[in-house]
Amino acid sequence: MVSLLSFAAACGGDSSSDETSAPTETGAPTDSGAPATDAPAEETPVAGGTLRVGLEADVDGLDPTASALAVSGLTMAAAVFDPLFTFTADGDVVPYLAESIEPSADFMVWTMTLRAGVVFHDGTPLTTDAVIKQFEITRNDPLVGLAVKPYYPETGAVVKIDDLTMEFHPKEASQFFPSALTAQLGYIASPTWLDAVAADATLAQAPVGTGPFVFDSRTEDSMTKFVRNDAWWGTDIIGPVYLDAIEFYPVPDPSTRTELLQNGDLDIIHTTDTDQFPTYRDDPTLALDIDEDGEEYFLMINTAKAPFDDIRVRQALALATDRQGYYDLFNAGEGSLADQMFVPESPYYNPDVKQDGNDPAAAAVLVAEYCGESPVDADGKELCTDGKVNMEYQWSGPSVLATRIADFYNEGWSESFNVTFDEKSQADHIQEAALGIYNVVGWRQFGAENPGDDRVWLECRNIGGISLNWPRYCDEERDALIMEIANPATPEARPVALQQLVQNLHDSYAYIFMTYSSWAIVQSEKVHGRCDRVGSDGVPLVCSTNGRLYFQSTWLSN
Amino acid sequence: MSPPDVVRSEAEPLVETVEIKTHFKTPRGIARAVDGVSIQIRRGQSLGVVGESGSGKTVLSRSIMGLLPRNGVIRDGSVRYQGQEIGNRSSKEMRAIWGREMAMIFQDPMTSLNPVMKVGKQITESLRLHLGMSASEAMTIAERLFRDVRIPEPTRRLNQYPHELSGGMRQRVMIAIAMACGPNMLFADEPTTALDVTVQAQILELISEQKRDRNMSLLLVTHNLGVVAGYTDEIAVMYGGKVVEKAPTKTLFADTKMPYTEALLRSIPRLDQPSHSRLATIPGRPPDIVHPPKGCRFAPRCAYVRDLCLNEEPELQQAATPDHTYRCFYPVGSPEYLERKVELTRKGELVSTGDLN
Amino acid sequence: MRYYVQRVALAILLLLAVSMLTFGALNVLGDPLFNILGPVAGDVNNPESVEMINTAKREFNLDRSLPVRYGLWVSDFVQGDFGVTFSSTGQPPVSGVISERLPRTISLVLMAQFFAIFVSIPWALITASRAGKVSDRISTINAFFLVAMPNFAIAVILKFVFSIKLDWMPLTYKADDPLSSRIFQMVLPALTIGLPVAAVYQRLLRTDLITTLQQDFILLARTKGLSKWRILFVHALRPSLFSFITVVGLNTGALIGGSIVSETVFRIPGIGSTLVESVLRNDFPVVLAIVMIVASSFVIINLLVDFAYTLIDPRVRR
Repeated sequence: MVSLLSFAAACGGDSSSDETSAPTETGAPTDSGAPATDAPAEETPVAGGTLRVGLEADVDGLDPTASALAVSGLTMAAAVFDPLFTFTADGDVVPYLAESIEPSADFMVWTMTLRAGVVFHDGTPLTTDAVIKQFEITRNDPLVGLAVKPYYPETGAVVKIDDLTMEFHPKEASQFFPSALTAQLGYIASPTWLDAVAADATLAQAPVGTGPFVFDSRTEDSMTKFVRNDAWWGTDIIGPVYLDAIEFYPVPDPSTRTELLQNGDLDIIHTTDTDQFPTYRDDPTLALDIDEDGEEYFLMINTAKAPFDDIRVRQALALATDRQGYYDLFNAGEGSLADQMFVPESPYYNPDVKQDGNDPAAAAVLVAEYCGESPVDADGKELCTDGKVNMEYQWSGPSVLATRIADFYNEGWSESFNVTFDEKSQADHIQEAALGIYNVVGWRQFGAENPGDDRVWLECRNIGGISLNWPRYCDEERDALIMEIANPATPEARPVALQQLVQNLHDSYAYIFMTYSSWAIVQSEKVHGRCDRVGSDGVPLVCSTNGRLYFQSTWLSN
Repeated sequence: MSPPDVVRSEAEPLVETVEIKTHFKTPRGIARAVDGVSIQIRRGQSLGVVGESGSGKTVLSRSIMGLLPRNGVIRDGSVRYQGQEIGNRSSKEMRAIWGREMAMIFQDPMTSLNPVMKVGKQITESLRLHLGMSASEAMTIAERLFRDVRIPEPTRRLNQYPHELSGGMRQRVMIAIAMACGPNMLFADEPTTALDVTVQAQILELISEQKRDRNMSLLLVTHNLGVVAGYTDEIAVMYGGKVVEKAPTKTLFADTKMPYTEALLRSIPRLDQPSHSRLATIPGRPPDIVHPPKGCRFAPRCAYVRDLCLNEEPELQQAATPDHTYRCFYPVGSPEYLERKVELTRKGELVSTGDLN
Repeated sequence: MRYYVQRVALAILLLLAVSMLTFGALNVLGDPLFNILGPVAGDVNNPESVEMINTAKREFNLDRSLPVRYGLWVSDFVQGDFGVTFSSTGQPPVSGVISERLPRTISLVLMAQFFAIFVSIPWALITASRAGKVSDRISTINAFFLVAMPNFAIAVILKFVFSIKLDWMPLTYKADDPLSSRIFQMVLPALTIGLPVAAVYQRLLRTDLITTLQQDFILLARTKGLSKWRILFVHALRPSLFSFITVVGLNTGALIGGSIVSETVFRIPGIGSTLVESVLRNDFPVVLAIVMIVASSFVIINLLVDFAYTLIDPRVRR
């Protein structure tokens, strides 16, 4: 459910290298430990220095209760806020700002205890009241609240026990409950500051959390600066904060970001622009870390609307899609084609599931059969013309790349489909996807750190006026699988159920999987220790997720 | 072919051209604007160069000054100033001579003064450049110059722009500018053409006076023989790039040899005639200087033309009077001329000329 | 005097017309509700969403008729209140966005104009004095090349040469750096938009100079023995500046347009990039404010240009 938070910022990434799209906040169990290129472990970290980070976009604000935080926003938020829980390098959820959490036997009540003695940057102490207050503000936010409302009762959702202890009462049992509190919902902000933001929304630009860094200054679309929190609660429990300061520079153009890094104006960047990957490999002064465990890029089909309410047409579209050609043309030899929502290394990968594609002949057979029935839509309009299915392909623009991709798809499809192009502004694009006013769109999604969290995109109950189940595909069998995955009573059934879910997704033909999104994290050789973060019990923590970065343990040599 | 040497030994010519040929590159071909002209002007003397437009008179003066447009060049001959060859000098080298040694007055004082610069500045800039004066010194001199050319309220005028002055006043400013550095040689190119008739005489008088006072030499270019009559020592009549008659002013009027000169004389506007009376004009058009006619260049328009004129170009002839030369086979007064004149008068084709001769 | 009163009145009418057209067009062509509410804005079958939509419409005056909204906007605008942004909170106020970003764009445009003028004038003087010669022809080719090249291509070339290869200039602008650094960082962005404009100015001024150089007063200046450069600068330049000044004035608007590209490539948080974002987001108050600023500067500059004529040519002074 965490994923919902940023759905306003989410959109159909039309390509793995489409920089304009902000990926949804999701992630898979990620790279374990430090990349090979990182500093040798025996080197001793030194304190000091300012880390300059190149991000792909700026944010409208850094208020976890209201701002739509995408990858850049979450990277900034992670420096100034602490999440209640966090993922380990192995994909487990462990307490962070929370001291502990205990489910009831039926997993319907979760009792959480906060760490004692934690204060926000403004001196306000961290208490149960602060967490509950933030929960209620979030729930009432017209946007972010959408991610909270469906899963909690109207009253009594969070109950205070004492100053540090509280109970969560979700509507239904799930063994994954704490994973919802690992990111935006779990980033706890100062209640004093939230009051101030309510009075003056411009203060959302100057966040106040408990995190390892303190907000210092911000110039929109230019630079946001945080300085070290010398009074950080985690210094003794988690580890020291080495950097004096972090400066975040939003640089939307990926090649400019690369130039700035190579020129020494930035120390670390993230990018999905695969064209640049070889440059990073060829530069001996840069360390490259590629993360493919996150989202997948795929074509998404609206199954609620003719002609794609017919599975034959959906299958035909998949078969007519030149996946290999797409990869060759737009991925520049980087990353790999995706057959499903899991990477081959994942324990949930289903080796039997292969994405259909590159078979126009088979597509033509299916279309001939479908059009042979002279289908009409609800208004009596012909769905086929000249033996080809009429359809619309929508993308968010204006974007030269997205238009090129649309043209490319059309080359493969045109044998069996009459394709109408529909370029929409990003706002309209998201809105029409949410409201089901589309045939086919390019999209980026899935790959949550906890795969169970991806259920929001898949369940029948998320079909409605605004549907997060964008393809509006309802299958009770699938919902049953999802319940089995979430069922706290049967953790052993989980891997099999997830593999079955992969098969189910394939068989629905609501998604045509294209590629794994590749995030490159590139840093200069003087940046060290980024992946050395550990939890309170010394367990290594996740290093990066879908381009999101954490800097508590980072230090600079020289 | 050149006139006999009457120059006194101490009076070398100040300016002299020897057979200069100035050619222009045009889309139609080479235009021989000045085609072998030799003139001499001694210090303190004045020469009037007269001709129709296109006769080469302006090009001649510009050739001497070295102010030819980019497509024009002196192909042949020599231009000497104080005995020095200057015909081949670059603009950069000529700058030392311009303003200081030679100055020029143009036809239209409206277009010849910089419209966006106060006249005071236009006169002081050459003073400051050539004589190294300070701004205030130059201003004092400028005021004196304005007084010399009889500009009333010189102090106020110095601070005015050209458009604030009358035409005559502007030409006085021009003269003052030309006089500023005390040149030895003044070129005046149709200095009164653009002016009101009543002012013309004043300006010419002023030029003449300045010339006298400063012992300058003057080359006065005009299409109007009447203008030069009272103000020049000698006159050269040009036609089609050549000097066709040259004589001391009095001689030229008294003993005209060229039928062309005679025709020019007929076209002088006269103050004693009503202003609406038609001037005698020379029929035909000036010669094509890109492809000049074979014989005498004036032949196609000459009332006294004979076969010889059309086939052979006349050399410069020496008249009876010293310093008087002309290019004509059958000059005014020759038997052939008289014979033809009788015929023409009978036919009534010379009606308007009778009273002039 | 009366002439100036008329000109000012005309300018005000013009600005009113511009604002009316922009206001109308924005409201007809786009729906700002998405920026305020997200997808909820389109969820018209859900009573809960409809309630939120209605609340937002009331809050942002979107439920009023177009003329009423325009009237409200105008009366606020003339009092210096540019309104609120169409975001979920209505924050930050438009005046805040503008006052933070406008100075950067103005600096960029002024610097570009400065470069354009100070490149084009000597360039035009040199080429006009050598009209038709080889150097003039090469310059003509260069000028057309600069004019034809898109701004972003110039930006990329400048960056590549001066920042990456030579390492003389910074790659991007940093709004938080000290003023002296920022001026330095502004050089390449200003050249990016200034160079093509310089080429246009040069073409224009060269032609006018050639005409001027054929005037008699230039010949007179030569007969005074003045140096070639004194003639060009003191005598030929000023009378040749009329169309130049007009075009410089008019181009200030075009430069603000060009600044969009330059601001994006060099990361300058100015109003150019904000304009694009705001148009895409249907954030009308911001768009309107920027359009009005650009239009007003157009109008004011043209008034100034008229005034400048009188400084250059005494004949216009009456």
